[in-house]
Amino acid sequence: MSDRAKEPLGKFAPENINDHLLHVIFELAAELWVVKRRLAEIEESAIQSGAITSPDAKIRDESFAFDNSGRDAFVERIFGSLKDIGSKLDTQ
Amino acid sequence: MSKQAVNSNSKINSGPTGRGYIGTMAAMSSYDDESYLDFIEGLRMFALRSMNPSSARALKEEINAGKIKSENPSIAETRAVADPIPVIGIRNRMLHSTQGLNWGRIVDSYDQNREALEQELTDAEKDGPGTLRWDPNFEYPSYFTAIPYHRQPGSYHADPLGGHIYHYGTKVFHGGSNDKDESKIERIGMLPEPKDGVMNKFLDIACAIGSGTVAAKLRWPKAEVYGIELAGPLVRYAHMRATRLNSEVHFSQQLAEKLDFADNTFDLIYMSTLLHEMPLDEGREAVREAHRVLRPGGILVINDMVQATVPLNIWSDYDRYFDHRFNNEPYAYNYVHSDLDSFLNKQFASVENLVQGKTSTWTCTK
Ligand SMILES: C[S@@+](CC[C@H](N)C(=O)[O-])C[C@H]1O[C@@H](n2cnc3c(N)ncnc32)[C@H](O)[C@@H]1O
Repeated sequence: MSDRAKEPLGKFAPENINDHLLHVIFELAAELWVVKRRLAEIEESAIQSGAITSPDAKIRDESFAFDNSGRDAFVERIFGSLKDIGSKLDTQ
Repeated sequence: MSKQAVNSNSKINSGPTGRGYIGTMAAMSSYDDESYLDFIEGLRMFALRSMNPSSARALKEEINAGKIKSENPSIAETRAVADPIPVIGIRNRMLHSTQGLNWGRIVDSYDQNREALEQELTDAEKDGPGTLRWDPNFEYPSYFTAIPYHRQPGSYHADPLGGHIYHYGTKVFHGGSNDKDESKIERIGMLPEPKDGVMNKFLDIACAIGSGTVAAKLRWPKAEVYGIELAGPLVRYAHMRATRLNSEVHFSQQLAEKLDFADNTFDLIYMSTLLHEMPLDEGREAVREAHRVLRPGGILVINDMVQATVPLNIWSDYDRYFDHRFNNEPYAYNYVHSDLDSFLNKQFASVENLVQGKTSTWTCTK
């Protein structure tokens, strides 16, 4: 288990943190947009120079299968601690 | 042939979105839409595999601590204890968000190729080997149009792309385990045949996009296979999909409670996850109709949510009611409390019920 998963979650932030968290989410979304826009620009240049094929141009055939294990590990790493919250928020 | 080799093959079918097929469904219009939905599927699976057991455990702790006294509490009593439990609140949020994000992205993505997707439905209408009967002016009962089931935008019936949307939506719902109809083929493989071995006509009632129906034709290639479905977009999609798979299945748009087949027609009838989506009276009418069109000695198999137990499984009851409140399953809660077993035993010569997890299978012989 990583150190992150052992974080004493729920112990520090008071309940009224939600308002603040919303603000953080807006900020994060803006930064995500920055990354998306830059990636699109790089992708376009790379396609034009013939270095890569756009992933959108990859045609799936009927036997295509997703790799769920990498995805599930990613989800678990980020959200895994939520399942341990249990029936009470321990705020001591 | 390696996947690489298949991909570089110019004969590969790019389909109506231009991005080919995942299993039997048209791929999303962009790589980003596909990745987004892959993530949503993963998050939903996490909610089911990890958050659900934790939530059930947390509620059990509160019950053990004496917060709920009765063995058969009302849903109001259960909610008073369960709703404020943090892990349950987060689970509820996760399920609700993933459902909304799932539908939203699928609709946005297919919208980009709406014309081509609608056109393929029209083009397939007169194609075979199977057949399609549907009526663009079909009058739907009000219980059916009252609410978009499972929050699907346009529900089953109001968006011409309802079948496409439902198919990709259920891909995420099944966690990718049915991309190539695997779980439907397995279910159909488990169906019993009538004792006398005569198996000439099969009917799939409320067949949706016809995956079970096509699976039945695979299992019984010599039998005549029929699928009926109420929603026009779904039955059109079922026919288009079966045509693409070269499966000779006869689809028609019909009400389960008012079938247009003659008495004693079918050897085996399958009714999967329909009854929990109907009001009780209409659901019972649908069972009586299935009985009417089944021949003596024929079998009706009903697959659906388990009925409520005594004493109550309090977590299951809460979960069912959550679906009722937040996932547009208006009839499911009444259905699980409806004592279906007694009703079926009155209609049929023999009834067997097999419970597997959240699913019940009733095998009813006429
Ligand atoms: C949850 S889906 C089940 C689909 C399929 N049988 C399966 O097991 O995957 C329920 C289906 O029942 C259909 N339906 C609902 N009420 C109906 C009725 N009265 N007659 C026929 N079909 C109905 C819906 O349109 C929907 O396609």
